[in-house]
Amino acid sequence: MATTTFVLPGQLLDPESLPSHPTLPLKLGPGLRHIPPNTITPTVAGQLCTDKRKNAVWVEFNGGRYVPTVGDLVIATIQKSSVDVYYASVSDYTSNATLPQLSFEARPRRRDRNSPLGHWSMARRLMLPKPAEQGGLVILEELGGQGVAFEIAVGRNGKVWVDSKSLKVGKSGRQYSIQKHLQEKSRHEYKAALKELKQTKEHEKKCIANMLKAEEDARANAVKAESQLRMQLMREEMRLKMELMREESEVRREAKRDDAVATGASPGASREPSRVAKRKRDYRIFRNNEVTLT
Amino acid sequence: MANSTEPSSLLSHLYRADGSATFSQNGYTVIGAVNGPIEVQRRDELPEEAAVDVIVRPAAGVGGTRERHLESILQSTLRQIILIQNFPRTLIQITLQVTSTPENDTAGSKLVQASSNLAILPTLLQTAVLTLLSASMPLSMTLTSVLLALSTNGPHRNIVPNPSLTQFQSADSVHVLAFTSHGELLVAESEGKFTLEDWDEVYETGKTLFYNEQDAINDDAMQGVGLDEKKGDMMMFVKSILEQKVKNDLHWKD
Repeated sequence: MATTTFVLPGQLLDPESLPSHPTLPLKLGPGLRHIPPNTITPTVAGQLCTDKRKNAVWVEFNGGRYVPTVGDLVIATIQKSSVDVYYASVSDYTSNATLPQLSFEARPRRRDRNSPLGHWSMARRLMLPKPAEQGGLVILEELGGQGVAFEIAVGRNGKVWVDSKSLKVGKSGRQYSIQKHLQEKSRHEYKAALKELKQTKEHEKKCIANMLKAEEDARANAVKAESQLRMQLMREEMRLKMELMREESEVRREAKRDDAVATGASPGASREPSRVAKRKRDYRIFRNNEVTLT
Repeated sequence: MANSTEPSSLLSHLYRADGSATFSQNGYTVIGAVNGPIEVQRRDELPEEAAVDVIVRPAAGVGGTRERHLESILQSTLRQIILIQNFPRTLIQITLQVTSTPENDTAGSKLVQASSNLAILPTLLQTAVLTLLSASMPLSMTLTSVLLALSTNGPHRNIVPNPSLTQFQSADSVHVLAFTSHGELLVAESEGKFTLEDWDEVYETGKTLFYNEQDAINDDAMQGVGLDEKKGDMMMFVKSILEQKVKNDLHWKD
């Protein structure tokens, strides 16, 4: 039996809205504070809820950050264990809570354990044969859609624990399938975006590689062509040199013969030097050309 | 963008902050985010209460002395309404980013520095309060604030709540008043030339605007020339915005 009124921080509450009970004292839940002697005011914006049976009053609100409070039922994850104590993580931004190992009868599971801070008792778990309208949680809708029975526990620190005995995968596989499904939906788009990014990156890499290769090839070809040209020029040079030398040696031999013959035909002597001179001229022209080439 | 005196706001739109709000009024738009209670640096920690840190970032350029002045006013105000005794040795960090001012709307493409500190103070205060409410940070009370411009022609005083840019620049003095939900004055900042009697009347006007929301709208209570129930509007505005947010948050109950 809850009545709802919207309240703002510091608002004066109508005494009518607070429950009363003959024997039980009034219990203040989250979102309210008591200023002695008679004042009870909300501290957050939310709906004021009351429970006549337990004589309790609290403010229902959707908060930002969980602040650990004594008496809260939370879901904690065991991070590590030491000699006689488990270190359990309640939220990412608070330090670990310690749980004495002796408070468990049997060997507990590695993951998610229910325990309230400051009290070492187990929390209630809700058994649901089929989920009722659970807004917004994909995994529950999925399980429910398949008619699977599952357990769910919700901690005040904003963590939800879901387990199902009838999923036909192995123990670790069960958790894996739940986890996988939860992550799949949310990561589907992320993966697609990643794939696209990878593809474009690969394509880019390929283009760059092709470009570099083309550059290398062009460079190599240029060098090859140049060296070939040089080789050709050298060959020409050698050839001309050889011919020149041959002519010169021939002329020298003829000159010697002519001397031996004594007073030979003077026109003959002048003919050879002209032949040699022509070769020399050719060679000089060739060298000049080569110089201009290089 | 026309300067509308109708305030508008958006709550909890930044999902990585514990609480966030965007609030715009009179051409000023401020985005606020709060994180807390979070870890505090050793040198800043206070043994009995939470440290409150406010950062104001202007629309143009980097923060300078003017922003530090606004931050100091905001810090000393907000630490009186947040229940800091509940979280000793932690930090509550509030960041306020100004995204638009009326001067910038009229200046074209060039970003202009504001001429006065006070014009944006009510918007900053309101954004900070909405941010804290969106984060469900425990507060002892809520706060509403108003900007009043005073011009005196001889014996006649003309007090304009939420003045436009021209009214603001032509006024003799400008005043920022902030009242808590209990009706107490929490912030009183003034700039310009005025006498103590002038200030008294400004205070009365502010209080009247505030109490017009608490009581029924009463013509006898209105003083001065051309007053609207701007203050009452602000309280009602905050209430309706938060009511909408709570209704959305608790839709699973239905």
